[in-house]
Amino acid sequence: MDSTETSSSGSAIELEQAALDVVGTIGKPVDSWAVAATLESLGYRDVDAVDRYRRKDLFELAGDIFGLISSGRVSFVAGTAAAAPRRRHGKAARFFRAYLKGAVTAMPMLGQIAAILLLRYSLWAWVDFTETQATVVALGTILSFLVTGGFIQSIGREGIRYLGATNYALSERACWNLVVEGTVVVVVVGGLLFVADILVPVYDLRLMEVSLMYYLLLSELWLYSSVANVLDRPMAIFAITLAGVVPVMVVMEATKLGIYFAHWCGMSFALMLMMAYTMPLFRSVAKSTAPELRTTQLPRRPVRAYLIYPYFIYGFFYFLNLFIDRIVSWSTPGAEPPPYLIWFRTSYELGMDWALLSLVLTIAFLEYIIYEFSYYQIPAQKSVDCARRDDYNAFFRRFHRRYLVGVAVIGLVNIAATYFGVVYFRHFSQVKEVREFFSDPRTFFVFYAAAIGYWFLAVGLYNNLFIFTLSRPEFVLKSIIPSTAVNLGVGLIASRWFHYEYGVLGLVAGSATFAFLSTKYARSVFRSLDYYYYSAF
Amino acid sequence: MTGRRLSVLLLTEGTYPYAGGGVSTWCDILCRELNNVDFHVVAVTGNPTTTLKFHLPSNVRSVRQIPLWGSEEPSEFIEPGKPFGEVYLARQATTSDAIRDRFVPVFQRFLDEVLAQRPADPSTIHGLYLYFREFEYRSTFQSMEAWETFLSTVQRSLADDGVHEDERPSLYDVTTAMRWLYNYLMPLSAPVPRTDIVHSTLAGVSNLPAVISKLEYGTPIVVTDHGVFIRERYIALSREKFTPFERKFLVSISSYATSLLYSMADQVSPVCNYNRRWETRFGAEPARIRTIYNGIDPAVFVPKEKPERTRNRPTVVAAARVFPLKDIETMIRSCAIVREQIPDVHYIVYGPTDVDPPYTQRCMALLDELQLRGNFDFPGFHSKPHEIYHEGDISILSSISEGFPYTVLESMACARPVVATDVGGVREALEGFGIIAKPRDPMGLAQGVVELLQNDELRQRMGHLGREQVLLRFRTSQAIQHYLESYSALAHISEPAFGLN
Repeated sequence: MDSTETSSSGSAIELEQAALDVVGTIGKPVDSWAVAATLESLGYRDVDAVDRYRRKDLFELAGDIFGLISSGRVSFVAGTAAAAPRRRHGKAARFFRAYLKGAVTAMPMLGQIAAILLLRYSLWAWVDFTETQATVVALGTILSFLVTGGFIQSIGREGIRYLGATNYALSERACWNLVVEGTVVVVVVGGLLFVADILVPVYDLRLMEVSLMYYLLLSELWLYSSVANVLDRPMAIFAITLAGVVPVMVVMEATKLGIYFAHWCGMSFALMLMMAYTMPLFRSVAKSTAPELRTTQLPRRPVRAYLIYPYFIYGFFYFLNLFIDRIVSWSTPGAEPPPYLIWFRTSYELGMDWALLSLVLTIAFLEYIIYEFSYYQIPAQKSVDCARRDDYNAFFRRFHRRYLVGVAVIGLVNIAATYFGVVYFRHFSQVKEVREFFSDPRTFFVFYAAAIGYWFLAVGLYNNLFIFTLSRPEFVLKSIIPSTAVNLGVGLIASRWFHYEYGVLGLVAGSATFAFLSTKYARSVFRSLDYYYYSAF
Repeated sequence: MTGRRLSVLLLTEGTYPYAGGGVSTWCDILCRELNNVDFHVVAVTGNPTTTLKFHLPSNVRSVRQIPLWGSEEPSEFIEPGKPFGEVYLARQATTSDAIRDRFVPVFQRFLDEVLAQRPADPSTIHGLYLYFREFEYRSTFQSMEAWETFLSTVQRSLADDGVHEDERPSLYDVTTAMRWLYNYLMPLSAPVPRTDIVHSTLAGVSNLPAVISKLEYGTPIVVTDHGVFIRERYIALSREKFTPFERKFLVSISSYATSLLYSMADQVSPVCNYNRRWETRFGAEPARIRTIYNGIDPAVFVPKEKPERTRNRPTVVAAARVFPLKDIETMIRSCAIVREQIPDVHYIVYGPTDVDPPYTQRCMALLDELQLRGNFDFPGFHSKPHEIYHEGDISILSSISEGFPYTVLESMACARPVVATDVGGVREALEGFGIIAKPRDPMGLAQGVVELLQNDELRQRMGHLGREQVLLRFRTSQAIQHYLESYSALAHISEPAFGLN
């Protein structure tokens, strides 16, 4: 039984109708095979080609229809691939949104600064720290960044990569694996340092224990926060780190257990909140993984190590570069040798923290730039004929130059704003802490130098953003490793030759090297951006 | 040569053993029934996965997965046992000089053949394979040399073709095309095991290892291109929003692979005669074509009474994955037409709904629009296909492209007559035992459904004849015997060394 019998006629009008059927379905066909396949999918059969169109078979009919369409006698809707018009926000709106997003990522740090200014406590600092206490805490803090830096960067890399591939379950597994691996390394390093201090006493064992406790808790907090960062939750990190200050205050105000214990309570509380927040959140995100992706496994350990090692090394060197001048300066022997190998210098730290504010404001601007880079990328690729890739590369070379100047200018503006913003507090010199802050000219010297160092650092970070986006971490390593070496070398010479605070010149020289090398590599990438964009898979 | 087990390299894409569907069922039956044959499966998948949809019989000696997408380090899946140190060393050996001297010349030749749609020279593909045996795949494709070669060859081919200004590719098109190439050619980076026969289930790029096997070891090739890949490719590409260059590029590389496979095949075994039309036009020698119809086990698919829950309602069942080639939308529209005459008609479509989620959503929206929620259901995948058909009075197939669909044979074996679209080999199975409608014609389908549901005598007669037809022509044992004979003849191994269950 067959309900498909057709009438026979075979006129030119019918052929044209069939052609219209084809172009109405697929637009302009690539060739006659495409017409044949389309005709079949539309229900045309050999029997129709013979009976109705007087052709030998469907393929002959397809050939004639293709000829008809190619001759232009049947119009078609061109450009079926035309992308839907993209809703384009104004530049100012994009700037505002992206800058705000960038600024939000700095909120946890700003929150801690606000807490110490307003409440006298932050999660791991206290206005009334003695230099001994500050030394202990600073060592724990710096160590936590150095040991977890590689893991933080790797978590960001793996977590976001798998999220981008919509494999949320794999992202979750990758992140928690790295958190566990990071925790193991944190514990091992802490243990080794403790044993080393027993064997070769450098610090009083009691101080070492306190320092390692800070190191342990902060390291875990950084690891879990980096998972929250992967999930793009900067406000949660801000809220949780701020909430951690509450137990610090409560313990300090209501008991006599002391600042160390208070901080440990606060950090433990924040850590538990962070775990309680990120774990179920990631679980629920992972559940939305498409069924066919759910069973995907992470690569073997050596393969994973190979894939993420550049990011790991970068993370380590990034924090080493940030802190090495402090280690160099604080270990400088002077007229009065420091009580320990590394000894906290308040005026130096204040100058560094002051300058850091300017860096934070500039980094927020980088968020906007990378957004713009992505925003223009595909439209620029689509608007350029493949034979005119030089136009495309030139467009983005101009883009890079323009925003390089932008970063430099905004960096300078931020330095000025930070300087005058803080100096304004001199009006409140009746407050003891304010008086003390401005009392040491070394604070000003360190601020000036560090602000310049951070200015260069921002330029380097600006360049590296593009290089990372294009998956070329090897170029980033080629700029950060030499610059760290310069930082160390210049810092050592300057601090030992002049005075301890001159160690900050290491930061200036290292960051200048970083800015120079990264600009060189970024420019070479932009010269062949078509290739680097293609190969960023 | 007698007394040893025959080995077959079975090449699949998007099917066995990682996904369900007709082709997978066919592979499963082939491997299970030919239990004296050793099978080595190379399965090209979309993303990496570890979930097997089939329990592998012991004669499936190995399964190698080649995920085209979603893996940053493809060697992890392609050669899972290989120490990463070896991969690393291969990567280190993949220098600019090696790429320039060893890869670029053969890659250039390959591109010339694809872009100019010249007859494929098998040695080109072989050359690429030999290169990837020595050097690393990913870093080669990520090299500046590979990119420059591709870009310059595309530009030269455009100049040769005199492409119209409107159809010239953008930089984005070329970037996309080269990235596709990286993904699609990945099967060439996997070592091809030596076997007596290579059986390709799809004449596309993913099955090019069949050509490699023939060139490396002289292995005879059997191609069973179920739905005719190139035809389905044309249909699929026409539906996607590609630029003219992207579409032409995908067509070129697909037809390159199809022609190469058909022309190199020692035997092309379509699952129905209908498919010969395409196969001969893409290079298969008519003398080497031997149709082998799919078969099913009539002892499993047996006629049974309708169960209690559907007994009092006119029911139409379908076994189909919900995706565009099955044209579920036309099926839904036919339901709306049928309901005008049979208000309590009930369509049940068994099959996964997550194959193409946007398409599934469109189907759901159409159900809402036509207010068919009470008449049409998608209960999802059913693990026991032989139980599906008893729920209905008849079954339906609305595809716009098919090979030789199992669902038609299964329904016939269960004595449930089928209303089906006239696609692929449907007519060869169903003519005289069911109702055939034009594709994309809801009215035609609906008329067939109404006729069968309202005419008890006709329905029963067709059901009875359908089962007889299966017993006569479409039994598993018949199909398997034909494959066995083919393997035996091509490998010059006499049959007694292996056999059926």
